[in-house]
This record gives sequence, structure tokens and C-alpha cells, in this order.
Amino acid sequence: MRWFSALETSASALTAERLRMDVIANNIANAGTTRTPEGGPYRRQMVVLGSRPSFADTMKQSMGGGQPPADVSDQAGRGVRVLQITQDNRPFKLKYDPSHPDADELGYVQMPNVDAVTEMVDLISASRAYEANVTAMGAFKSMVTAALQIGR
Amino acid sequence: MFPKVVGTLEQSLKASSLRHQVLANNIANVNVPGFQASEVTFEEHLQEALKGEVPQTGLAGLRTDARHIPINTPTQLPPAAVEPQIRQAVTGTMRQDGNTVDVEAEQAKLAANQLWYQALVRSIQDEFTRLRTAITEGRR
Repeated sequence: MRWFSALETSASALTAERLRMDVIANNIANAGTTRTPEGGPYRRQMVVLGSRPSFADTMKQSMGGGQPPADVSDQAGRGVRVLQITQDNRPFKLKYDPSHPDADELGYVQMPNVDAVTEMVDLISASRAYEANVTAMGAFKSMVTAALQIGR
Repeated sequence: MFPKVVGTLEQSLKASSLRHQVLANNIANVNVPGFQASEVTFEEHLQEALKGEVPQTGLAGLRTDARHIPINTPTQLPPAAVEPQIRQAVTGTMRQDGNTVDVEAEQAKLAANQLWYQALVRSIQDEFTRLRTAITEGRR
């Protein structure tokens, strides 16, 4: 069994949740952006998370259904990873503002499909998940410190 | 030479360590849609081994002679040979995205497991202290 695999598990979640917060911050920052390099207003981005399979599952897959490793600790999952950053395909919001440089002939402006409330809820969810993983890391550190005292 | 109980404590420590890994993985995957939480079973297996009864399956062959081939006869699994196991947890929480992780429950289990691990470490230390007392004839 690898000693610090639990730390790596928690660290992978910290990375994933931080990226989520980065993307949310980017969404909020661009809540009023009407021009992007792709053309049109800014589209809301979303992070897709997936679990990292255990060592045993990875082995089984690459060996084509062989025997899993005997050690049970190899069957524990290895955390989380970001699979991709996708775009939210919901329609843009229309705002009536004839003086806006990007307004159409009827006076409507296409605004990004970013909803501040959704972003804030996601932000709190990500930040709480981050904290939970920090707690798990702290617990692991104190356990290892205790184990180092054996035989003293 | 080493006290027998150290072997059992060592397996318990291993189980506790694995449990932390599984709990950390559950917490790490709290925002993954469809993720199924896992848990570690160990104490019930240990209790069975300590009672000396390994669960039987099917028929058992009666042995009236030591030379008979044992068929499903209860074998005494030493407590120090009991291994922890990972299984899918039944949490009762079912979110819209199919994720079965209950963060509050996982955090509580994490804290309990941390204290349990430290208690096990203390027990092992005490065993070795007793051994040392015997070796030094109680002089130190």
C-alpha cells in the first residue's frame, strides 16, 4: 500500500474544486460580456467532474479482466478529476437597451446566459467541498504523526 | 516473542487506515454525479474470528477421524489474519444527481476514525512498553 495515497486523494479534490471556483469566478466576471473571440456574447462554462478509478480497476481494465491485486487498499478509489469544461447551451438572455452598441434593429441585446444566483450557489458548494477535503487532509496528517510514535 | 494482540491491533490499524482512504475518496467525490459511496467492513469479521466461528456455506462434512478430508468444517481463522473489505455503502441519501455521499455523515465518520486510529496506536505502544518493562526486569 502506498503511504500517502489518502493525501493524494484529498489533493485531487482540492485541485478539482479550485478549478470549479476558477470557472465560476470567470462566469461571474463575464456576466456582462457581449463580445467574445468566438463571436456573440459569453457562454456560461461548467466543469464536469469524474471519479478516478482505483488501482485495481485500472489494472483490470488494462489486463482485460484479469485478477485484481490482492491488497485491499488497491481497491479504494483515488479521488476525483476534471473530465472537461463544457459550455452551457441554454439560450442567451435578451435585454432591451437600444443605446447598446450590440443591440439589434429592434433594440434588444443578447446577454450571457450567466445567472448570478446559480453561480453563487455553486461557489458556496465548491468552497464547502474544498473545506471538507482540507479537514480530511488534516485528519490524515494527525494519524500519520501518531503512527510515527509507535516504538518510541 | 511479541504479544499476540499486536497482530490483531496491526490489522485494526490497517483497517482504520483503509477506512480513512475510503472516506477521503467519498468526500473527494461529493460533486461527481452518480458516484456511489463505499465503506470498509472489518469489526464484524474480527468479532467472528474472535468468537471462532467463520460463517459456513452449504453442507458440512462430519469428521470422526483426523485423517478425514475436511468439507466445510469450521476452520479457526486467527484474528490477526482478518482483512478489511470494501463494499458499497447504504447511506439512505439519494440526491437528484444520483450521488450517494452524505458529507456530514462522512465527516463524522472521519473524525471518529481518526480518534480510533490514535487509540489503536496507543494500545500498540502500551504493549511494547509492557514488553520493555519485562526485558529490563522492571528497572526502568
